[in-house]
Amino acid sequence: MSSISYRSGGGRASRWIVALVAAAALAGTASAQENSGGDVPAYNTIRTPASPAFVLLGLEPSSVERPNTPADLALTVLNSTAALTSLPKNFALEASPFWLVSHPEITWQSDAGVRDPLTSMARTTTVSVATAQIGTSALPVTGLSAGLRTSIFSGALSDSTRARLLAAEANLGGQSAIFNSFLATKRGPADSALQAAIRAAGGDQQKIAVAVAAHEAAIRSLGAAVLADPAYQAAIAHEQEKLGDLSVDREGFFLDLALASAWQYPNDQLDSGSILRWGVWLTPSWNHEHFSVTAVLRYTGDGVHGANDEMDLGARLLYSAASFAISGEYVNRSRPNASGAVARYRLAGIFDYEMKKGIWVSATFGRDYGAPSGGATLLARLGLSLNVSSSRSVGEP
Amino acid sequence: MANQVLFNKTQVYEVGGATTVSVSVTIGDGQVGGSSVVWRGATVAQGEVAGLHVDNSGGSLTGELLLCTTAVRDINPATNHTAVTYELGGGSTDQSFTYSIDVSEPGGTAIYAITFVFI
Repeated sequence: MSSISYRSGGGRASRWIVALVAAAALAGTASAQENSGGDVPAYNTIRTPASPAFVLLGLEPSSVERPNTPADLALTVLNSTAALTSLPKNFALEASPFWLVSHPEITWQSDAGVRDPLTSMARTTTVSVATAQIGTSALPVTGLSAGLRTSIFSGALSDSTRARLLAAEANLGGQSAIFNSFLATKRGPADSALQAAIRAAGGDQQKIAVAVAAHEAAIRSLGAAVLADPAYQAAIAHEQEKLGDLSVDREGFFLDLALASAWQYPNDQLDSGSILRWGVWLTPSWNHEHFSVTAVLRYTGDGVHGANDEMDLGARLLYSAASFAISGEYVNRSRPNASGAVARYRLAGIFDYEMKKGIWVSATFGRDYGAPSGGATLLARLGLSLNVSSSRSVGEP
Repeated sequence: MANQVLFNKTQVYEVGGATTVSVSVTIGDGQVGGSSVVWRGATVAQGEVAGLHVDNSGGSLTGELLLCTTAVRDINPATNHTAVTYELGGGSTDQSFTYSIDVSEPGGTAIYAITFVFI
C-alpha cells in the first residue's frame, strides 16, 4: 500500500494533472439512467443519496415503509411509535408528500418538458426517516435520523422516452381492446338487462339506480373472471412483452439537494438526545443519452466533534450503454474545522458490466482518501451486485 | 405478467335530446395509458381518445351504452396511484368523471372498465 503526501504546491499541480489524465483516459459519460435510479449499481455513488436519512445513520434497511396515502402514513407512524408513546425501533420510512394524493390532472405529456423549480421540487421531494440501535447492550443508544431530498431542476423527458410512451399508448389501447373482446363474450345478458330496466324505469331515478348497481356488480364479477382467464393472460402477456420495460428517462440539467440530520438518544430518553451528525448534499449534473457529468458539494457535520466535519468537492464523468458503464470520479475531501488537517482526495475509475439481467460485476481502481492524518490508500475492488428488486428502470418524476 | 387490477363503473350520463356525444379520455398521475371504445357493438377508437363523437345516425341516444376500457401502466416511480378522467359532452351538461385505483405493484397495470348508460 503506497503512502503519498501531497503537501507541496508541486504535489498539488501533479495531482491535478493526474486527475485530468485519468478523467480523459476513462472517457466517462453519465448514463441518462443514472438519474433514473436505474439498474446500474453505484458502488461509488457521487450523487445525492435517494434517502439521506438512511445514509447518515449508515443504514441499508432491508424493509422500508413507503406509504402511498396520507392514511397509510398516519397508520405507519402510529403503529411504529405505539401511538406516539415511544421512539420507533429499527424503522425506515420514505415518502413523497406530493404523491400521497392522486393528481388526475397531471399527464405524462404535461410533465414532459422542463419543470420550473417550484414544480420540480414539489414533484420530486421525498422525506426519509430512520431509527436504529447504535449503542451497545450495556449502553443502548437509539439513533434517529430525518432527511429531505429534492430536485430543484430535473431535466425533461428524453426524445426516446417520449417515443416509447407514445408507442405504449397504442399498445395499451390494444390491451384494452383485448379485455373488451374477452368481456364481450360474457356481458351481453347484463347489458340487455340494464337497457330493459332503463326503458321500464320510465325516468324513475330510484329504479335506474338499482338497475345501474346491479349491472355494475355483474360487470365486476365478469371482469374478474376475464382477468383470471388463462387465455386472456396469455394474450395480455404477449402484448406486455412487446411493451417491455418502460424506462422513463429525463435528461438535461439537474440540481439535486439533500439535507439530513441524525440524533442519538441514550437509553431511549428523549431529554438526553443530542445531535450526532448532519449533512448537506448539492449535486448539479447534466445528462444526455449515454453521457452525464456530475459535480458534488457534500458537507458532513459531526455533532460531537466539530473538528471531524468533512467537506467533499468532486466530479464524475460517466458513459453507459445497454450492458456496461464506465465512469471516473475525483473527490477532494477536507476538514475545514481541523487545524493542520491535510486535504485528501479520491480518484477512481469504475467499470460496471451486466453479466446477466440484474447481475452486475463492478470493478473499481484508483486512489482512496486514506487516513485523516495523511497518506493515501490504493483502491481496488471487485464486486457483484444482484438486483433482486423490480427490473423496471424508471426515472425520477 | 405484471399484475392487473380492475376498476369498473356503470355511470349514467343524461343526454337529453342530444343526438351526438363527445368523449375524451385523460390519463393522470403521470402514468401512461390507452383506451378502447366500443359503441353499438363496434370498436370506434383505440389508443389515445380525444374528441371522439358517437351518434345513432340521428336517432335517440337514450338507452344506448358506451363502453370505455382504459389500460393504465404505472411508470411513475413516486406513486402507485392511477387516475383516468372521462369527459363527456353534448348531453344535458358536459361532465367529467374521474376514477382512481392503485396498482398492486410498481409497474403494474390498472384496467378501467366503464359503461356509460345514456338516459
